[in-house]
Amino acid sequence: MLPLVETKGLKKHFRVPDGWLHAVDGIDISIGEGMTLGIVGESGCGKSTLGRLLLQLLEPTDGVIRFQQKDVSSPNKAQLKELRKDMQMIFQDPYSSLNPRMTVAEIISEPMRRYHLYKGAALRDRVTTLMNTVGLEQRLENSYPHELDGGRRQRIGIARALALEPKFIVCDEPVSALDVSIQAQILNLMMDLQEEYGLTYMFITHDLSVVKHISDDIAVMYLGQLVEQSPADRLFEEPRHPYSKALLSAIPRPKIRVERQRIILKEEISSPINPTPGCRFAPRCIYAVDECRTSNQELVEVDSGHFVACHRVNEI
Amino acid sequence: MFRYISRRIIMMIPVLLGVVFVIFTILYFSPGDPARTILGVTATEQEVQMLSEELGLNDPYGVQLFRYLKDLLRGDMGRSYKNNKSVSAEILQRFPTTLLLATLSILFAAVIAIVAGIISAIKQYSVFDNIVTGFSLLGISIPNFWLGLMLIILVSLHWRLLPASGFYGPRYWILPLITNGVGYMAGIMRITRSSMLEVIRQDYIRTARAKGQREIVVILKHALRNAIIPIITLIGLQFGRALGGAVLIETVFAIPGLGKYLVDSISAKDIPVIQGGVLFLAFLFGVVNLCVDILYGFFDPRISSQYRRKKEKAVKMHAKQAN
Repeated sequence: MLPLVETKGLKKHFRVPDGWLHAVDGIDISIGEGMTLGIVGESGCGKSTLGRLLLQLLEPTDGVIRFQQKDVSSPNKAQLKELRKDMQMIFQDPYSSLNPRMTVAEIISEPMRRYHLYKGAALRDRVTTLMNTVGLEQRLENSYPHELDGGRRQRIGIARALALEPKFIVCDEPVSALDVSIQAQILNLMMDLQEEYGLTYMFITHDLSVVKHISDDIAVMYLGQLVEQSPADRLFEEPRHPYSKALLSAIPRPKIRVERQRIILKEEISSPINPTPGCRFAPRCIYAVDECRTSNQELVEVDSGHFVACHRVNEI
Repeated sequence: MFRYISRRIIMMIPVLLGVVFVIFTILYFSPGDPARTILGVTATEQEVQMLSEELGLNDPYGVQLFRYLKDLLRGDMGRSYKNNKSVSAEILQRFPTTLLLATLSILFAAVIAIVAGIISAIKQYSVFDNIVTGFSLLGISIPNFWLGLMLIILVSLHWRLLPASGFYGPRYWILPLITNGVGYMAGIMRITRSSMLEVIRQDYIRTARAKGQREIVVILKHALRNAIIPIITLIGLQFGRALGGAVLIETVFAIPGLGKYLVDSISAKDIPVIQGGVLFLAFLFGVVNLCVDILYGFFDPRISSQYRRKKEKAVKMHAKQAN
């Protein structure tokens, strides 16, 4: 199957006072149509930057983004306008990502007015349909976001993202700002929508139980690079990269009397500013050898569909 | 909204009463005999006494205050001690000039400053931004009477392009308008820039871009509308102040406006004019504030919607009780 979205060597470096911050540093991903790729990693590892790069909300420093086999790395205005119809984003914080001066109906209808897709009564109908689709009561259409709770606000964000009938949606921690009970509702809604409209998701999160629930494939990110990518089940059964192992060992398990073998990483995450050559994880890795500190291992397929970037993957 | 406005207008009444009370009391207890001031040093003690009696200045404080309030209700602010002209007529005669100068200066300042402030926020740290920031620092620092004098020397005397004094037509407006406007402009620019800088970093601006919205709409509709409240507040304050008359500007350019009238009356101890003038200014300030508050509701629909909700609730409550 041909991938819907693909990146090759995607990089984004930010200029900071001390040099260059390598937020995203050479990422290759490919997401098949109708699939969900989960991106996990700790705060500051570049997950959100990656999402914004895909949506052209940031300009890549280097690398290629392909959408439906077409290179869209540096689109011109007209291309970008078309691209926006196909790619949308659901943002992390439903409290700050909605314009406080606009009503629910205005927020949802704005993309359609921008693209002149519907007018007058048809537009109103379409807004009502979208609100129904995401489970928002119609009486809320003239409310302002601050009058609603977090779950409803995120539903507005989803309806807004769906308004242009996109093929691909980047979900940037869409449930991390919500209560646990609401999280499940929103996740189920998103999965229903995926099934109904054949959507492709890239699901960014630091919450491992959430990502397991929704993803087909999972990519683990550390300091701007992918360290492991695999089908979701396999990753949870058998993580191969030392960082993935540590990450997964941190999931609380509800079983009694089963000794949890938590791997506690020593030291703090190293700085993404002017990184040294070698594996990014080496300073914290208990398996690190000299080779790890001098050369960086690319992702290698260790099993069908299971990629790991580690020099010693076969020894550990 | 109508209820809101009418309530605000009613709320102005106690404020104005307070102003009358304070200004009347201060002037009543201030040293000096008005009758003596009117008649001059050459008048005899008897003449002064007669005039005091005639003006009611010998009556007790309470009686005088009550009489002033009673006249005020009929729109009578008394007559000037200096030339016996009706104070309200004099004020109304000078007000259009002051209003025109204030409106023009604020418009001139606001249009340029808001546009420049937005651009400088979008292009932060660019050459344009540095120029704007530098200009607003200068604009705030330069005393406007000095700027006025320099403009007169350069434009009127040296280049002979524009008239130096008077206020008779558009050609006369330009210099006072620039002189007055530069200070306002500097303030509005700064607040526009900082307010916009804060707003364009918000998440919902990124949301608007992700929607595919045109950049100009993102800036004007999503960003400016959220950034405009402090800008309007500042412009409202400046406008209120400008209506009080730019005394220095009016003096420099010999403009027959309210500010100069009021200041002259203070040095002449012309009590009815001072009272009337201050009261009128307080009234204007109240009106400007009210307009600003109405504009808040217009630009921030959350404010007016709160009002609407409250009303709906009240109506529902009412209906319930009726049942």
